Amino acid sequence: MSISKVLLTIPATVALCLALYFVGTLLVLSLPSLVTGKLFLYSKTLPSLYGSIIISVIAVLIAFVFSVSLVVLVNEFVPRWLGETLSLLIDTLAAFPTVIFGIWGLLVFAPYFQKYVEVPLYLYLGFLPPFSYMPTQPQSALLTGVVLGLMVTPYAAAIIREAYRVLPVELRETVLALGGGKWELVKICLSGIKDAIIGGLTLSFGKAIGETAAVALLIGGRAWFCPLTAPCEAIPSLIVSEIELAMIKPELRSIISGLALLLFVVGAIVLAVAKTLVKRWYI
Amino acid sequence: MTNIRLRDALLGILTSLVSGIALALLLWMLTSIFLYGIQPFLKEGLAVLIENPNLLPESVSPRLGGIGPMLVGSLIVVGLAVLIGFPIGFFTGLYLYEYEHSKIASACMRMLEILVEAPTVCYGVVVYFTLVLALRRLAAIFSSLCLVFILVPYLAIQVRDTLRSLPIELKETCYALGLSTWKTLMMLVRASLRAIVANSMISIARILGETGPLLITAAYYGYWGPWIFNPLAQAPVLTTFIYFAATSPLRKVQLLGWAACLVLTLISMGLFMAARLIGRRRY
Repeated sequence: MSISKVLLTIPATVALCLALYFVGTLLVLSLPSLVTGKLFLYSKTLPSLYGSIIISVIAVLIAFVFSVSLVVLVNEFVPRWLGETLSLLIDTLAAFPTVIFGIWGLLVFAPYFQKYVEVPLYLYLGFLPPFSYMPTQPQSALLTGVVLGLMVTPYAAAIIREAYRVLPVELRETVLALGGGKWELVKICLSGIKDAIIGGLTLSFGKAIGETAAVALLIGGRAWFCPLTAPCEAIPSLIVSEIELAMIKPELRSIISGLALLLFVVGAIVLAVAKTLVKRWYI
Repeated sequence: MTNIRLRDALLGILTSLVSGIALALLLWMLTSIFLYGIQPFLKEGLAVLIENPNLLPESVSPRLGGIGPMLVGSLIVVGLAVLIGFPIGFFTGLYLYEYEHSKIASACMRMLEILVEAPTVCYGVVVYFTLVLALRRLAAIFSSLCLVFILVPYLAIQVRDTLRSLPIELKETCYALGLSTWKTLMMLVRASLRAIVANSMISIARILGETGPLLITAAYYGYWGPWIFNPLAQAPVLTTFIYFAATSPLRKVQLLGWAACLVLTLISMGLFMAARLIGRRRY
């Protein structure tokens, strides 16, 4: 055993211990509420889980439309310099501080969204259950989903673009030589990177469901099985708003740890799925 | 032929339209940051970067004050996190590369891969329940610890992947020349130094914009005081101040929040652009 191996084992062990400390603490702390079922009996757990899933699904749907069209635009329809500039913008925004999306969504975007999207939805489609809540306040599940979708769009677009870029050039040449136009080309290219698109969107789902700051600002903080245009609650924002209470209510500790564990498990599943799909291009 | 042309044109119009909406919303956000964020600077100059925030209502005291304590708090928290996390992450990356097949490495790799995509608010929960509640104090060092959890897996995996992307012949040459493991590793690190520096800068930008766990451990605002020399005292950071400003009903506090957004955006974009310039390979 060489000295360098011994020396390098120390930081690796520290990193391993950090990870084990994290996972172990979550498991041990949440065990009581998991065993007794208190986690799910707690009145806010299931509504927040519902809220989290609703907003993440809206976010992924929006990110899907936006990111695929951005990738196609950047690669097929604009001159090279513009494509490069847009790619740079996408890359920069992919790791942008999320709380900024939150403050923009709440102070700038929400009033317009309420006036031009939510109110018309209520007025004209109010007979449908998802839009049956009168949007009297700017915060809502729909707003959160839309802003989150905008937030994860650059992230998804960056992953999909990487896949699009490494498609073999022969594929393009074949399609064009057979007399196909851009339509056929895009169709074939997109079906060739189907895995990367699904994987990128899965990762976006993970990012959206774990997002805290933007969600806590936009969601409104009312835990119930709400229509889309009503204020709602999500797991990360529930954790942030309830954790101070744990100081005086010890029984909440295990429940909050359980909520965090739930998020962590969802994140781990998302990563496991995404890794099989985007293995070649991501991490 | 005209049929193909027509469909191509339709596809072009459709993608430009959809991407146009996405880009317009993203640019709307960027311009709002700039337009609102610049206002405090126009009113009170660069003192905004230094002074205490003035949270009194406008009718009582019209001055805005500044975000100085939050800026310093962010630098302290991120600085401590880098000080603790960088050596662990970097050397763990070296270990994972060199001793890939050892038991510790495979366990470590599996744990770190799960951690790298975990929702960040979970780290806040673990640190809060194990350290904050046990020691009955909120401290800057605990906020840093949350960020260490984010930094270590990211950095370790990046360093390992960067070293892996080097040609294997380089490593073989070093060993064939009789260099020790340590010297070989340093040789390889030197060969990929640009990429490693670039990745480190991106990871610093990432933790600088992190909010989720800091909402639990860091202060939302603060004034100059002895806490800047004491890592065991609670420190305010930029991101939590933005959160605080977004929820504030006072227009002037919101403006200070936008100023914090502008500063954060400039720092993180600066780091990102610099990383991109440094990371670009020269052949």
